[in-house]
Amino acid sequence: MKEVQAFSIADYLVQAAGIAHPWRAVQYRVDEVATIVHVWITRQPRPNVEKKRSWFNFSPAEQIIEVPASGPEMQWRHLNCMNFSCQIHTTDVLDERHFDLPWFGQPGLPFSNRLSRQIFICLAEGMEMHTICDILNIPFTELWKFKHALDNGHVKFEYTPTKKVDPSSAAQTSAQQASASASNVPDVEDPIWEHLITGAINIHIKTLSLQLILTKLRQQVSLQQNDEVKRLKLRELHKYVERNQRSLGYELNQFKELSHTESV
Amino acid sequence: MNTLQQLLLTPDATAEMIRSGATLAIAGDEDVLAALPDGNWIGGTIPYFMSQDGGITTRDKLFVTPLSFHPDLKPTIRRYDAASLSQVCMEAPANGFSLIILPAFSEVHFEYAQHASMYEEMFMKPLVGWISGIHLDDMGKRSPKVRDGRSGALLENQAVVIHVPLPDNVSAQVSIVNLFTQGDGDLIEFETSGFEASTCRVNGEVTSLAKYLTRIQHDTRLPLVADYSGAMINVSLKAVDEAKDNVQFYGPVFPHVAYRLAKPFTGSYEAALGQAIAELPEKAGFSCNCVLNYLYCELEGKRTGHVTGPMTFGEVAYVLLNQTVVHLTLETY
Repeated sequence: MKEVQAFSIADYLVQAAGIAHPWRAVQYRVDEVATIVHVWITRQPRPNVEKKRSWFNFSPAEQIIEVPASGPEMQWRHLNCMNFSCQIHTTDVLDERHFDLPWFGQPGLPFSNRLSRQIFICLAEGMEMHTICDILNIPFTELWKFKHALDNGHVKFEYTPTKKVDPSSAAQTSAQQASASASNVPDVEDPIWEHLITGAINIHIKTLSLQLILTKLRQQVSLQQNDEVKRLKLRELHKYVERNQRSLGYELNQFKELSHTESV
Repeated sequence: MNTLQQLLLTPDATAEMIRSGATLAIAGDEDVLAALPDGNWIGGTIPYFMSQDGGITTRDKLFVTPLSFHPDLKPTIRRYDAASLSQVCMEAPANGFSLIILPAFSEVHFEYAQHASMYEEMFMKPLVGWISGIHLDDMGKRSPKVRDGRSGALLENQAVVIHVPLPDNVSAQVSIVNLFTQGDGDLIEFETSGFEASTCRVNGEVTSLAKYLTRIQHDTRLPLVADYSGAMINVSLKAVDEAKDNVQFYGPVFPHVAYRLAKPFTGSYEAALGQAIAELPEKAGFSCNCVLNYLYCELEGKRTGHVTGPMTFGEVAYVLLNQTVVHLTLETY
């Protein structure tokens, strides 16, 4: 572990990680095997720098006296740093408000708030979990833990997903619509999905997996009532129905009728 | 699609099937399961079965479910511990199904019971299975186990899974048959999830569950039942200890779920079950029933229609179930 004599490097790392004053680095470690940069930060003031006089007072030597760690070490995975992943550590005793700082995360969760938001956006845009893991180089188990917290309303984010419109071809859009129509699954933008997910409408369901997934998604939406989560869950339901449409004839007929009634 | 029949077989006949290279799921008492040769199979311990001739408790035979449906699509066997179990659906084939066996009372059992519904891809792909158990005479002497047939070791804290791919024109359908429905009594809710509870809310009032069940003289053979968009999901009662103010369950209860005690059952279970499953396709790719149904409804020697299979310490139809028949069939398009 490199101590604070390489102070400027630690300062650069803190700057690159978007960590603001009064938080500062006390030490860092570059794990070249695991390709992880570890940065320990504190909000304690910089140690006193006693300017000792050297022999004959020719050149001052710096001695850094660090404040000892005062709490249990906490750490979160932060944004990646070029080819390295980045882990932020602190042994400071944190107040509740500190957990909302972008470079820290919520207690018990693996990611910093800034990385969590990036992941949330990926999920909201419909990206598969394995793809997110590949792109961000994060373990699936940690992503699953984060998604579990998200689904249970333990973390919240504000974000409006972009509407996916094919910029190049209206023809392709109509082909997609035709395909959706042929597949009997209403388009993801159809209000029926929101009505189903919020419980505004009910249908008679015979298929066990639909009964279970709909109950889960409705519960999650009712626990965390914001548009982003609703949209995320609505996409999940749509994905389920698209994948399983062959087994959902009885239910899809009801979707179709309801969708038609809505549009009339 | 050739759906092979599930059968109760002797150890020799089972060993012969294993040596033929068939992919199998096998249920049997620990000694016979341990003695089987290595091969493409997974298994779990249980000595209770619904055979083609009726309910039977035996330590000498094995219940065998063939899972080789298509010569070009090879099933894969996987083991999962509690840390990797969340990937079970991710590793399932895009078209096919997975069969899981978990040892009762283990960390993987509790992990699965409490978190399975949150696993990525859960409900997207068919998943069935069961919880392995022991002969009730062995309680305190032996523990439930599973076996990855590719090696001889019996496992106490891992789940074994067969992921079975199917041709594009075939889909697996998972059904359950639960004869219990919500009664007309009080609404019961829990603050936290778990296999035991001391307090709950009864019609919104914080109440000792043990005292409540004792006060209303509840027949503990009747489970708590929740309505999941029309699917009746049971949580069976294991023990009610008023002195310790504690109630234990065979599956977890969850917060934000409205439970009611099951409606008392009238008539004979085997007749009602026979009637309820009459609509299910006759040839199941897999089926199992709960040992509590076997015991409470005294099914030894009785037939329950065409549904056969192990009588287990818990059933899996995506999530963990209690006192429920699980049935998987294959549909060709």
